[in-house]
Amino acid sequence: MAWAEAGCEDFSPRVLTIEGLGSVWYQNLTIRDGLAQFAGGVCVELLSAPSWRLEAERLESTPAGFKLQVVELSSQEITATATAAFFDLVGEVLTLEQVKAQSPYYRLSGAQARLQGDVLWFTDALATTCVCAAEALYLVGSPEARFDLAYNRVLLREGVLKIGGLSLPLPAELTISEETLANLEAPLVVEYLPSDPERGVVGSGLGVRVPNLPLDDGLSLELGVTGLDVDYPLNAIALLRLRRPDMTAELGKGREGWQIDVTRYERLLPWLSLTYGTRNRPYAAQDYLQEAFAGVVMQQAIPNLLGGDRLALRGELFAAGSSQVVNGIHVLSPRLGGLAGIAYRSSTTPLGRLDVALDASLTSYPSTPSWQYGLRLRPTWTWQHAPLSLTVRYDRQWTNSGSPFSTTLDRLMPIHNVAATATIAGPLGSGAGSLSFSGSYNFLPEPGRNPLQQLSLSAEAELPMGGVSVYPSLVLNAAGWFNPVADPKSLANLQAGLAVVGDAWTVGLRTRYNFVAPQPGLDRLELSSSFPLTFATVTLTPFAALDLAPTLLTAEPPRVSGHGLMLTWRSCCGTIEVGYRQHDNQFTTRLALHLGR
Amino acid sequence: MRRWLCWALLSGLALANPFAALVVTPHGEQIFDLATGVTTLPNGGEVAAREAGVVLIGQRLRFQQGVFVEAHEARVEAEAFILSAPAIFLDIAQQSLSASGGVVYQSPELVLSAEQLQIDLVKGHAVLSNVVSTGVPLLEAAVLVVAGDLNAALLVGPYRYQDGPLVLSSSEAGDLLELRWSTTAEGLSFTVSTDISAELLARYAPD
Repeated sequence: MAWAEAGCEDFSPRVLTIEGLGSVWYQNLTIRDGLAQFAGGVCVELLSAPSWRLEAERLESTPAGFKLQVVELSSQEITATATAAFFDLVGEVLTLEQVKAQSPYYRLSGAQARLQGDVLWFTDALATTCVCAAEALYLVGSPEARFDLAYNRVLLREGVLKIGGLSLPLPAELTISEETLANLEAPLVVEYLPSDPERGVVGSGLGVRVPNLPLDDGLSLELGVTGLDVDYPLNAIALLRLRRPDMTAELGKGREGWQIDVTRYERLLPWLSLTYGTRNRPYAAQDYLQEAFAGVVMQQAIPNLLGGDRLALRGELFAAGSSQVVNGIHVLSPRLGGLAGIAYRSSTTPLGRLDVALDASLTSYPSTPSWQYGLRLRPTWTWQHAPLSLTVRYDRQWTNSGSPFSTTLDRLMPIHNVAATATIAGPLGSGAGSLSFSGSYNFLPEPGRNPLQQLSLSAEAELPMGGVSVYPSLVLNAAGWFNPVADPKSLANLQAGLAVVGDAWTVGLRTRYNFVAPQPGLDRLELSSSFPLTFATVTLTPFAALDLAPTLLTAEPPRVSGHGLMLTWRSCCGTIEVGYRQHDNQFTTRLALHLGR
Repeated sequence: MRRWLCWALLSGLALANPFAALVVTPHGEQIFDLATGVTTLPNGGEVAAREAGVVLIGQRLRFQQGVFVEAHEARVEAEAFILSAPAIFLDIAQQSLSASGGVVYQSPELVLSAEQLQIDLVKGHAVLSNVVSTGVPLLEAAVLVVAGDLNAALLVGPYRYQDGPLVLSSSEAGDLLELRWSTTAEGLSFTVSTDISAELLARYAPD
């Protein structure tokens, strides 16, 4: 059945008009004692739903309304069928039973639906963008779905994605529309985590995880496998998580090892809470931590102390029995201590905004015996006056580092650094651009490290030109020129880049010239490109990056500095994207489902 | 003998048509034309067919016994209906009434205005053209066939029928709608249907 621009007039020359209600075009009719019975089919137009046209095999009037059998409902964008329908004269609502609806972009069905104005409300709804005749690859189930004809969009509440036998939660509200079809990122994480011995990071290689499988209210399960590549051991992940206002827990095997964490919260007063629990993490990344703890936490926020500012106070007293293996030595001791903190944010004035955080701690370790104090001051000043913005951060921590445990538990380290950023950003021709200065200085550097951690000037822009976008960039790193300890990781270089992005292709050029040791001179001359290869329903977009610096400098073959492949499959369910990219020592993957075409 | 037989035959025929014997009551002059046999009542009067229960009243009347009665600014009073029109013609031989030019037809169930009307006094049904009802239910039709003996009427399209908030209409010429009425404790009750009964359909003879 096609929706006709002329409405029902083409159905029959005979029409019954009910004042204030609508019109019924019919083949045969009998009205007796004020009740109407139609036969041979009817076509109905309702005043309360002018965008819709109904056809039914049978229509019968009752004192309360109209009953229809074998109903077809249509508008310009959507057609629907129902086994039966009832129009309530008082509420002016049409209720349909066992409804199936289809638009060019999605299919909807529900045990029941009601039509009010231009909105169809589905109960116990199932939705999919798989509009092909074959069985849908996936369904989204929802207790309630709303199809809004005026905006041609579907709103699903508390949706659950069903793929095969798997049910995955979706955002509380999910909107599917022709103009802004949401890119549904599949709740599946594909990641690659390499080891970094310098930073003490133990990698797990290539892994696949489903981070959040809902089981019950606040209860979820994380499942996954890591070490799928040959360089890392195979490892399974099965971690049960509980997140409730009075309790949190994590039980099972995570990426790094087994753990049992349970914490209970009890609110004693609006500003006072009791917490207690246990943490058991017998793996290297946590130095084989095991402890039980209890404490009271005080929190109080004071808004508008001086007008427009905010002050937050926090205090904590705790007692714990803790155990770790630190540098091969088993450390076992109670921990008795307290924390106090103040966080202040001023109002925004013509002179900017000031944030100050002050934290103090004192902990005793009777078994060792030892004690530790810590006092940390972190002021931040921010000033903005478009297009200029300034930020200065200072971080100072005084401590005796007296904890016998590791930094993964409570051992404090001295901190003294300052950082500043200045940015000018705004329109640049037909595009936009920015110029930034950044610098940071560490007054307590590690041995052999340059205290001047960062001194850089960067400029970048986005310029539309003739249907493409051009992204020039220039970065000057100068910290390496002020390097009293000859820190080999302190940079002094100039990086220039130019990227041109079309509809589905990119071309890029990046270069880097080092001014100082250990490798002065041209360090990188990289050409990169990605371009689509389109077939009937599949598009392959390979990415390749070649570093030509070795060729120019030492006549060696170009070095492959990056590679990747994106597969885009256009199906009747939508567009599925799967791909990976290895570039700049980063491995990224993408798995996405675009609802609609 | 033969003369007596003709008279008896004519008398018998005259007695079979209830309009054959008319009772005329002039309101003034009565002029008889010997050549045509037509009587004119220039000041009006009444012509009654007592056997048929029909009375013709007009401001000006012309009649010929056994042939016709013609009335202007006329009114017909019968057991089943009352009719008024600028001109009414009674064909005695055909036992039919016709009227035109703004006819008003009243029965216990319907009050109708029409451009033209034809009543078959033998079969007892009326055919009205371009008819509009001025009472309840409201209706309009290209043709309306009223069969009082069947308590039914037939609307011929294009038509429009309204009963309270319900309005039935058809834009198609010749489309039919049956209207039936019955008297209940609450008064008159109407039923409409596109399912036309054979007996009512037989009363409708479209041109």
